[in-house]
Amino acid sequence: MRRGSEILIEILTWLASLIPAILAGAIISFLLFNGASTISWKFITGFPEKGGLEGGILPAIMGSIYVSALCMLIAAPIGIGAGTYLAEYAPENVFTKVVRFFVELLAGIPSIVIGLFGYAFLVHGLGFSILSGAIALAFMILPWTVRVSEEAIRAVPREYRYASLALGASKWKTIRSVVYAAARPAIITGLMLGLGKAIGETAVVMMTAGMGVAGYIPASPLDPARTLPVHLYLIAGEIANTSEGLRMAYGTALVLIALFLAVSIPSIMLRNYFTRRLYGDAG
Amino acid sequence: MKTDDAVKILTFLCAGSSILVVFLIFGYTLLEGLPFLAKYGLSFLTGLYWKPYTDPPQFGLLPTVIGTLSVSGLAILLAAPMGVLAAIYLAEYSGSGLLKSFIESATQLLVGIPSVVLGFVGLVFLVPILAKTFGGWGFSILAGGIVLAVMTLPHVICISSDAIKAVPRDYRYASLALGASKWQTIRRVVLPAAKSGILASIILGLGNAIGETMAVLMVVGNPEVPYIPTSILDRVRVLTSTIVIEFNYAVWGSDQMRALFAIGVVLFIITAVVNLLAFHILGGRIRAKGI
Amino acid sequence: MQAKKTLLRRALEYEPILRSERLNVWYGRVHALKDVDVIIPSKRITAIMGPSGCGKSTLLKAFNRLLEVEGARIEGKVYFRGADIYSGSADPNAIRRKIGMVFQKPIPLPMSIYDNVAYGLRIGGVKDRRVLDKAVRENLEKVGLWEEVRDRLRDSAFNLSGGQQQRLCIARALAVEPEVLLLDEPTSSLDPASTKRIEDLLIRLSRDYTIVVVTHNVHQAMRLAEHVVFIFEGRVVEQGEAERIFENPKSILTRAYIRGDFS
Repeated sequence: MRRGSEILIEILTWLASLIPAILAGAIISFLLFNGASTISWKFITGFPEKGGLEGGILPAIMGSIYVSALCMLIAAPIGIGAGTYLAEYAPENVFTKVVRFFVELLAGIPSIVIGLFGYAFLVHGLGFSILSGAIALAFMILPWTVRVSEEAIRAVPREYRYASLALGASKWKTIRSVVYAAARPAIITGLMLGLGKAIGETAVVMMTAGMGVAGYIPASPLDPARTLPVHLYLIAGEIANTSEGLRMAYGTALVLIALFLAVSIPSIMLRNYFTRRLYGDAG
Repeated sequence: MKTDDAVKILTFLCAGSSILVVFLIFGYTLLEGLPFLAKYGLSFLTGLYWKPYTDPPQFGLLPTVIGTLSVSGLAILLAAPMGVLAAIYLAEYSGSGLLKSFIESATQLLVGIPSVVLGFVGLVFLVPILAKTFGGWGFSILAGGIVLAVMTLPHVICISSDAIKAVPRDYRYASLALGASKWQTIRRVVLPAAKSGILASIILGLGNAIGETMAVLMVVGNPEVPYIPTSILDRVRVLTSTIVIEFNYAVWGSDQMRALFAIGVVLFIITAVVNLLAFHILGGRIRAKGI
Repeated sequence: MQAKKTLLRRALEYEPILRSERLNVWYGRVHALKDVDVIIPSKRITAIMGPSGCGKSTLLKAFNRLLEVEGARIEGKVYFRGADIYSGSADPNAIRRKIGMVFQKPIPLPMSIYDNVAYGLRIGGVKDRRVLDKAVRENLEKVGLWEEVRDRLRDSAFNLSGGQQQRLCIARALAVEPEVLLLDEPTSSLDPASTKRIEDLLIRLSRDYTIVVVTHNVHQAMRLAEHVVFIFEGRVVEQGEAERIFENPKSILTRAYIRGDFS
C-alpha cells in the first residue's frame, strides 16, 4: 500500500519536471510552424517595406548583432575581472559580502528601470545609439558575467595553482597561464549564455538604442538601431491585426528565437556536459 | 610583484563597478523622480486615477499597483507548486542520466527565453483562446499570470533544486536506516531542511514577476484609464508596462516623464527589498546556475 | 570482560540470526567484497575487524540494504532469520526497521532531541502522544541519556556533545525495536570517556539485541566481542569465537593484525 503512494509521488514529480521541456518545445514548434513560411533569403537580407508589412528585416538583424556584440565587448572583460577578484583575491570579509550583495542587487533590477536610467544618463549625452544601447545592456548583463566567471575560476582545482606557484610563477602569471586556460570553457559557455540574454532583451534597448531610422542599417556606433526584439514588439503591437503584419511578426519571432537558440543550446549542453564530468550526478 | 599588485587593483575595481553601477542607476532614477515625488508626495501610490493628459494631470497609481500584485501573485501561485515538485524530482529521483540532462537543459533554456517572444506567443495564442473561452477581451490578469508563470517557473525550479541538493546526504541515510521510505524521508527530513532555500526561490520568483516587462505588457490589456480590477478576466496595467507605454508620449522634463521615473524608483525599491530578503535567507551565496 | 561459559553452553547458544552466502559487492569496477560467507550469532556482540579499506563497512551496509542506495552492485544472498533480504518480495524499509544502523559520524537529524528519538515511530504511523512520550523516555534511559536531557527535549539535537549525539543515535535506532543493531565504527570520532560509555552500553544491550560492530581498533574488538569476523581485502580470513581467535588464530594474517603489524 505504501509502495503505491510512493510510485504516485514519483510520477507526479516527474510530470512536473517535464513541464519546462514541454513548454519550451511547444513555443518553439508553434513559432516554427507559423513562421517558417515567412523565412526566405529576401526576408533575412531585405529591408522593411510598406511600414513593415512586407519585405525583410535586415536592419533589425544587423542592429541586434551590433548592439549585442558591443555589449559583450564591454561586459565580458569587466565581468571576468570582477570574477577573478572575487575568486582569487578577495578576503572573506564584510566588503566582499557587500560586493556580492550588490551584484545580486544589480541582477534583480527590473530591465525597465535600467532602461529609464539608460535614457536619462546615456541618451542625453550620446543620443539614441548603438553605444547607448550597448552600455545599458552591459549593465544588465554584468552580474551574469561576474557570476559565471567567478564560478568558473573557483572550479579550477587548487592543485593547478600550487603546481604553478611551486615552480616559481607569480600569482598573476599563474592566473593568466593556468587558471584562465582551465576555466576558459566554462567562462566562454557562460558568456555565450549571457549573449543569448542580451540578444533577447527588449525594454532596455528600446529606450536607449531607439527604434532605428527606417530603412537604414546603422553605420556608426552613434547611430540609432533597431534590434530584433524591438522590431518584433513594434510590429506585434501596431500591425499584428493584419495578416501580412502577422506573417512578418511570426517571421521575426522565428529569426529571433533561432538566433537565441543558436547561441544558447550549445552553451547549455556544453556546460551540463562539463558539470557532469567534474561532479558526477550530484552536481 | 608590481604586476600582481596592479592586477589586484584592476580586478578590485571591476568588482567594485557593480556597486558603482547600482548607485548610478538608483541615483539617476531618483534624481529624475524626486521632483515628482516632492510635488505630489507619496500619495501618488494611493491615488485612484491615472490621467496624465488632463489639466491638471492626475497620477494615481493604486489600480496599477493592484494590477502588478494580482498578475504577479497569480503567476507565483501557478509556478511555485509546480516548480517545487519538479525540483524535488530533479534533486531526489535519479532516473536515467540522459533524460534528466535533457530536462535540466530545457529548464535552463526556458530561463533565458526572450520575454518578448513569450509575450508574442501569449498575444497570438493565449489571448484569443481566453477570449473564446471566457468572452471579453482575452487580455486579462489571467493571461498575464499564465505568461509570467511560464517565465517564473524555471527560476523556482533551479533555485529550489539547488537547495534540495544541498541537504547533506547523511540525513537521508540516517532516515532510511530507520526504515523510512523515500518519500517519507523527503517529506520529513529533506524538505524541512531545504525550506529556506525553497522559500528564497519563491520570493525571488515573485520579485522577478514584479519586474518583468515585455511579456506582461503584451497580454495584460493596458486600458487607457486603469481601473481597479474585480475579476481575473479584467484588463489591467502593471507598473512596468505603464512606463513602456507612456515613455514614447511623455515629454522630457514634464511631470508625466518624472512620474515614470517615480514608478521606476518604486520598482527599484521593491526588487531591492526582495533581493535583500532572499540574499539574507540564502546566507549570502551567489547562485550561478542558469539564472 | 566476557562471561566465562562452558563449551557446550556456548555451542548451544550459537544461533545465527544473520548469514551471508557468497556475497559479492562491486562499486563500479572495484570488487569490494569477494565470496563472503559470514555468520552473525544472535544476541551476541560480533566485531567485524580489519585494516582500513578492507570492506568491513561495505559488509555492514549489505546487512541492512543501505548498500544499494549508494549505488553498489550486489550478488549473493543475505539471510535474516532464514529469509533472503535481497529477494524480490522483500521490503527494504521493513528490513531496516528490523536491522538498525548507527554511523561512524553521529548523524542527528535536524530536529529536536525528542523528535529524533520519536522519528522512527512516527514513520511507522504512531501518532499517540503518550506512546511517543513513553518510547522516547524509555529509549533515552536505555542509553543513559535521559537524566542529561530530560529538561531540554525540545532543544536541537545539535546542541549535544559528540558522545551524547552518538548515544542519541543509538536511542533513536532502538526506538524502532530492531532485532539487530549494526554500528559502523561508532566510537572512532569520540573521546576516550565517551568511547567507554558507549562500549559499556553495547555490552548491556547485547543481552537483548544482536550487536554487530565494525571496528579498526583491535583492542576495542578484544574488549567487546564474543564473536569475531576478520576481513582482509574483501575476503573473510577468519571468523569464530572471539576467545579462540585472539588466543589462537589460525591464520598468520590474523596473528599479524592482532599483533598490530598493520592496520
